[in-house]
Amino acid sequence: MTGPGRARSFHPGVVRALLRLYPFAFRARFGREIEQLVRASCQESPNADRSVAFWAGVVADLVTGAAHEHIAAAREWRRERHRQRLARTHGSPDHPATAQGDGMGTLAQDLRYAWRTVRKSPGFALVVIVSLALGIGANSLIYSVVDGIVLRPFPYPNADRIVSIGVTYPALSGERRFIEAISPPEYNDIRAGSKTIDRFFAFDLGNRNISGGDQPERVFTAFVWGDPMASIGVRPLLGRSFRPEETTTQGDAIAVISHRIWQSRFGGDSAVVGKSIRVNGQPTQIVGVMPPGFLVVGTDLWLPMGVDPSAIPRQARQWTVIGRLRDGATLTQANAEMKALAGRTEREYGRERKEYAGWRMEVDTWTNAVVGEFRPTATILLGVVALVLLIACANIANLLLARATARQRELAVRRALGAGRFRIARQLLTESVLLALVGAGVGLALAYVLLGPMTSMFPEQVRSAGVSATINGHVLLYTLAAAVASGLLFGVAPALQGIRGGGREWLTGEGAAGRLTTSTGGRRVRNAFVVVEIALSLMLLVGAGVLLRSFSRLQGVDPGLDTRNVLTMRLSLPREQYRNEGVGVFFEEVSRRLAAVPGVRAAGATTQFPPGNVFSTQIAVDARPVTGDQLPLVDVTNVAGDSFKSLGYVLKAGRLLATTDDAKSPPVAVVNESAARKYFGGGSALGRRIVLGESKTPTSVEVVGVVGDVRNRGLTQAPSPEVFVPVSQDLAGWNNQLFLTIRTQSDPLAMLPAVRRTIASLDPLQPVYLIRTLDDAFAEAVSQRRAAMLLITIFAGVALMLAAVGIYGLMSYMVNERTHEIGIRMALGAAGNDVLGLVVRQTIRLVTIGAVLGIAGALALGRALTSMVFEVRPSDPTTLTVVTALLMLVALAATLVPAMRATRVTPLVALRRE
Amino acid sequence: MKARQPDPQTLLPLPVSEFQILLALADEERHGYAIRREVSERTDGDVQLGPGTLYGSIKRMVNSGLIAESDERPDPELDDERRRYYRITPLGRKVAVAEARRMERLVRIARAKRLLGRPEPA
Repeated sequence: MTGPGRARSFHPGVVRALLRLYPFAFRARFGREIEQLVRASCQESPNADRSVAFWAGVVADLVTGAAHEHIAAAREWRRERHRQRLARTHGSPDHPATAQGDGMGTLAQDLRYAWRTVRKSPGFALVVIVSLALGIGANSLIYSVVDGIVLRPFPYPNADRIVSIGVTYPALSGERRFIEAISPPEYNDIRAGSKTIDRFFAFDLGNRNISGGDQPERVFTAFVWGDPMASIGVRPLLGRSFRPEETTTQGDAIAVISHRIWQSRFGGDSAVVGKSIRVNGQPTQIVGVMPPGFLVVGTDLWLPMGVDPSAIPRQARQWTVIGRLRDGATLTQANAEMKALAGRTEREYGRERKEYAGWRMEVDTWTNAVVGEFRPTATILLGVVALVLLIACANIANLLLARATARQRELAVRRALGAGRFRIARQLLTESVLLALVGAGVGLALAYVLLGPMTSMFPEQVRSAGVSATINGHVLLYTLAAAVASGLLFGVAPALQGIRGGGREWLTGEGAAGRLTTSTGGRRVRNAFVVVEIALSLMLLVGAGVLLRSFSRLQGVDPGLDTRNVLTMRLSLPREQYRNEGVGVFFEEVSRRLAAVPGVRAAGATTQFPPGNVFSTQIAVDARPVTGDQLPLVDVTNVAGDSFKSLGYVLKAGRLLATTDDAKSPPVAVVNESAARKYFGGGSALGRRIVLGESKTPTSVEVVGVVGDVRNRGLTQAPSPEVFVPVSQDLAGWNNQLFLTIRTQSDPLAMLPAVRRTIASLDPLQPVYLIRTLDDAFAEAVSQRRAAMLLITIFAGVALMLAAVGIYGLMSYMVNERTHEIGIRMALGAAGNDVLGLVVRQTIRLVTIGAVLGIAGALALGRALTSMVFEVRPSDPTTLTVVTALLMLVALAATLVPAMRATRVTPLVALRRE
Repeated sequence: MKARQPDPQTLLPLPVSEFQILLALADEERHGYAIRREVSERTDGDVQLGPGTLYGSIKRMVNSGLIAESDERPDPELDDERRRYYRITPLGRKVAVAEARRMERLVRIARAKRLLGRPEPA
């Protein structure tokens, strides 16, 4: 039908190019025809000038057509894939379920199926869920504690940029200290010499009385240089914080209070800023309130230092220095800087200040400085609960494997109907994860309940700093991860079995009769799981055993005092009211009055008492400076009243200090046996003269008595040399904070009201705090060890229980599986005892292998425990033996029931299983 | 597996292009270009089936069984090239009739409502 007129030129290339836009299938099918059609259209008769319009039309049509085809193809592909999936599950594409069109349908299906399966066997589900609740719950609990104390104890923004300066004086004690360790001139040096850290602040710690309104209250106070809130990066809730310049000069008496004190004492009054309160009797204006949850070492009150740092002597090392890493600066750089600075200081001052010999300055995060000591324990605990969870998972895996054998027929039927292997495996895995999530939920509830009692086990210093543990978002995430990981872990073995199992043999003959057993491979896997459980349990038990022995050794250490029935409390006299002699007079008088109270056997005051000695100073004997690598240090303690008797010191030579040793009499001192041995050689210390501390005018003091050694620095350390000086004679001293020590006839705490009344009779405005008995003080010193020991023992017990359940389950299953075989044996003449022996031998074999592995593991990991044990080797043979015997006993007990069942198998019943 | 024959009513209303193709194939077998030309001439150029539209529809109609591929042979009125011919199926016929009836009903209603007068002379 070609008419007259010029034909349009046909460009096959254009058409072919446009055809490439189409899906391949379409192109293959219709490509040639489309080319033909366009060519034929070109050869029609239209006007030549409609060529552009024609081609435009062709291009537009082909492009839109291509788009339509792709969309249709995608839709069709999805529909086809879903149809195939459903066909495989239900064995027929005509199954009604294939009518559903939801892509997420398979996950929902898996979950529904899993839920149904779990509900069908509630007993099994219960065992699994309880095991998981214990395992995962323990992990949640410990992680929440670790998170609250060690990982993120302070809610500071960017807590890892907040750093503190730590100092080590090898010539003194050799320990690195961050808190109350730096002097004001050193603070100035640090501030001037650091380019990597800025926004420094420093503080000294003390106590002040707040009064004004109602009851006077004793509050933990920080005396501040700088602005802590700006350094840490928080804003005050009300009012303002300090301006750094107002803290270095004597200005108006201002204060910043904590949020919790604002609530408890000031009732959350929004007009508190500008209010005046009395701090140690002095009128002070509140200028700001800290935001909620923010505390610096638990201080409720901040006061400006009010003096320039350079005005305080270089050896007054009581301050803590904190700063913030500059953007881009690293901890390594800061450390390098501080190292250099320490070197410069040593060169400049080293000759006149001997303590600078070899001293070091280091930088670490403030978090590490405060809670770093708990890290090792925290890590160990996390490891322990992880092992417990592993044991639980091994148990559950075994259970699931046993069940999988029972489900072989179900699997075989599904396979025959067309379900794919991986489909089944995935569904089994979903089941496992579902169980794990339910178990985790229960475990989380358990952890929540137990968190309260756990928190009460925290060391005192941590609790008073306001640190706490909660189930927060991080804990939830950790729990979820543990649940999913556990589910996958114990679900893998049964899932693999799901892939490999379910063959035709389960549908007919022996399989249908239930007499088919799984391959030896399967049996080996189950045995392996139990062996692993036993090994892990043994490791935990060894750890617990070692800690138990260590702790009991610690308890057995003689403190050197009779710690029963002694009441202690702290009292800080305000400097404004009690100067110099006034302190001594007060404490002598209060001791006298307390001794007169019925029920009190002796009363005194002291600046420190065992096991918590912290104050020490240099000593010189007979006007000769002592030589040696280490500077001669002694613990120096100021005492008043009948301090020695109230605490229970034993006099070994000479006499004790008395009220007659006051400011007007010759200076005297009492030393302990360690000091006598160390500084007076073999001879008697009595009559010798010593000089304590370094002042411009050294005072020579005569030794008049020697007392027995006491574990003054803790039960784990040897007694430290100690010198006792009367409060009344300590004129240079700053010591206005003393502990009252009162030995009572019976319950110390019952005497508390009488004690308070007595103190009030002397000064009604002096509150007492830190009230506890001497027994408490010694207990608190080991509280961290005790807490760790308790926890690990409990977890080891749980692990043992789980392992016992595992052994019971395995033996039970084994007996079931081999009922047929046992029946034949008995029919052939085997006695009940022989069968019993069969089962028991199997158990012993497994436990032995597990024990060997466990002991190897315990020896390998034992070193991790060294920080926590006292006078016991982690590889202590006694412990190993006892624990292994215990394990064997428990294992045999667990085997008892299945073993008895085996002996009761009658041949007839067993053989009838046809 | 034999697909059940769908009820013609479920396929209504037909897209315009598909109805036109059915009309074109109602009286004889045609190939793609012939279909396009027949539709164009019959509607006086109102309906132009571009290659993409045409073959997209052809594909769908073959899949739903309205038309079927016939053999390949040269068109005596064109060049010697072999072209694929298409024919209408019985189902396709039923669907075309149903669609035509549907449109007839619509026209009747339009007349009843005095939207349309008497048919104009051709």
